[in-house]
Amino acid sequence: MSVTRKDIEKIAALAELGVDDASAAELQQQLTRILDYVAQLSEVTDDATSAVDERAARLRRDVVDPDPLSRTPEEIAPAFQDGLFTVPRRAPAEERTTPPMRRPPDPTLPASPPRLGELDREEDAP
Amino acid sequence: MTDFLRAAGEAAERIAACEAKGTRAFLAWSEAALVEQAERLANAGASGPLAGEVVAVKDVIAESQFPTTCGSKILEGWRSPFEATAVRRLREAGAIVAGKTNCDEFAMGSSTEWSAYGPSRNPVDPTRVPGGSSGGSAAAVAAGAVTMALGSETGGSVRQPAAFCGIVGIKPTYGRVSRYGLVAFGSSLDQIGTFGKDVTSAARLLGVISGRDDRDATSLDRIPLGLPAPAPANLKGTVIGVPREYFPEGLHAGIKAASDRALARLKDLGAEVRDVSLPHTKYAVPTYYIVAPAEASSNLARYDGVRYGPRADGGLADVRAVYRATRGHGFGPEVRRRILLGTYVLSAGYYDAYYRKAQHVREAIRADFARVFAQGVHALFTPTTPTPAFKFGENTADPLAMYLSDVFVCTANLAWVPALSLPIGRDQGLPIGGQLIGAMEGEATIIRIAQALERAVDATAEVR
Repeated sequence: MSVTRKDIEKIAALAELGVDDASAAELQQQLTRILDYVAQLSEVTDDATSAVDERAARLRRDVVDPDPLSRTPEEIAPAFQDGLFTVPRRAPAEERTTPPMRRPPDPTLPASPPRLGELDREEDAP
Repeated sequence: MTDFLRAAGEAAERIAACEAKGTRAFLAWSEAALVEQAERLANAGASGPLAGEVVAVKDVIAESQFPTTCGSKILEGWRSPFEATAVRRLREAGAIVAGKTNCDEFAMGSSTEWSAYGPSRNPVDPTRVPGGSSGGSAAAVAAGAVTMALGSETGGSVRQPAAFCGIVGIKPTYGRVSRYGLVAFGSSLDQIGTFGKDVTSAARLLGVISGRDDRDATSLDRIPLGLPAPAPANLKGTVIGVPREYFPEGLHAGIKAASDRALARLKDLGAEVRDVSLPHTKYAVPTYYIVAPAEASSNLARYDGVRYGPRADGGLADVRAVYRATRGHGFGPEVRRRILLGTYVLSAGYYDAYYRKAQHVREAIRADFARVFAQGVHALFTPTTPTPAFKFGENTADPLAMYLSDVFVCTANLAWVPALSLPIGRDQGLPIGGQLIGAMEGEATIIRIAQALERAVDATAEVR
């Protein structure tokens, strides 16, 4: 199994790990060697491990699932725009404006927690 | 002067002498902290089973007097707001915490060479590594700075350094000691273990820290092991299995000679020694180096510069750039390698081929042990390591070579069974460890056998 530079970039992004060019080349070579070594597990036939009790380690299917939330963040959020939660700008009270796109309360959801602006008001007061 | 103050003062002298030789067993300790604890214990009239014992604690275990850095720059100076259950229990038993000991970063390594604060030295031969990852704890005990220490194991990180330094190390059954306050690396493998200058010391410490803890959902619902029984006079009626896979062709001649001598002593003590087979042993290292990095890549996601430790945020565009810079600079090379390896084997398209396969083989390794112990074998005897302590730099350029030094120890972590290492001789002056592996919850059995073997074998004698 040969690990490519693109693989390193992809897994570094998934792991939120900064990797510079020099390290990437070295990691590419080291991970290839390690994965070649662990590939010997394919010698173990399924017969030898067919009695495995997966309760010991619950395994998932190897598929990329859609968002597992029953409701999307957009449905739940008081305000949501371009894939981001929208919150009031932190600014002196006199400059504050109403947050954009605030939705009416959803009666099926629990009572909303205090909004960011309401929490800020007292500590910002002179 | 109270006994506690005397113990603290003497420990301070011994630790200072150990560190003056450049051992670098400790990342943090102070005489003032030792004295303060001694005064507190004396004023409280403490009289527990470890009253006045001074115990070193590996830096991956949360403790409130000193920083808990895990040997990493990403946690430099970080102080835990709480203490691990194991630390709390040893304090309740009257012990004094000596300080925090050096280790490979986040316990990933077999030599302490991956500590961000520099490696520890083996007190037996300072040109060689003390083993790892709990090398600082092992070096502190071997140097005589303390008589007991806490370490942690994910894949042999107590037993391997115990063997390299010529002391005793015990890895309990998974769940025997609470993981509350043990910084997570591979959660299905991690266990706190104990070091001692002899079997009884390590067993006493284990007896105190073991037992059910509601703060760890994987903690076994058992009472503490308590203090070990006196060493038995003989081992009549005890069956020792010798798994042939641990004695391969070309095994280091000194390790082979020491193991043969120890097996002869076990027979002299009246034990029956029986050849057994654990056929999936050869797959233990590749299985371990899929399961452990996979779990590490998830567990170490929390170190993002926001919740813990220093943050790299000068002039960065957004929060993801902060994460990447903090983690890229804060983690050392071995931790970065394992996070990436773990991310790779868990990523879409590779999960079944690597992670699922490794979990299946892990079950086969566990079944091997269960089958042998069901056939009347009380314990297994093997070498702890394939070689004695290696020199600095010998394995750092080749990660795989370093991983293979765990070949005889990582099986017990994968199978959750207890195991210990005790010194069984020397080869050209270097200590050699013998390993006893028990059935699930079989700590008392392997401790009893080790006590008898310890008395029967001259661990300081050359084996060839």
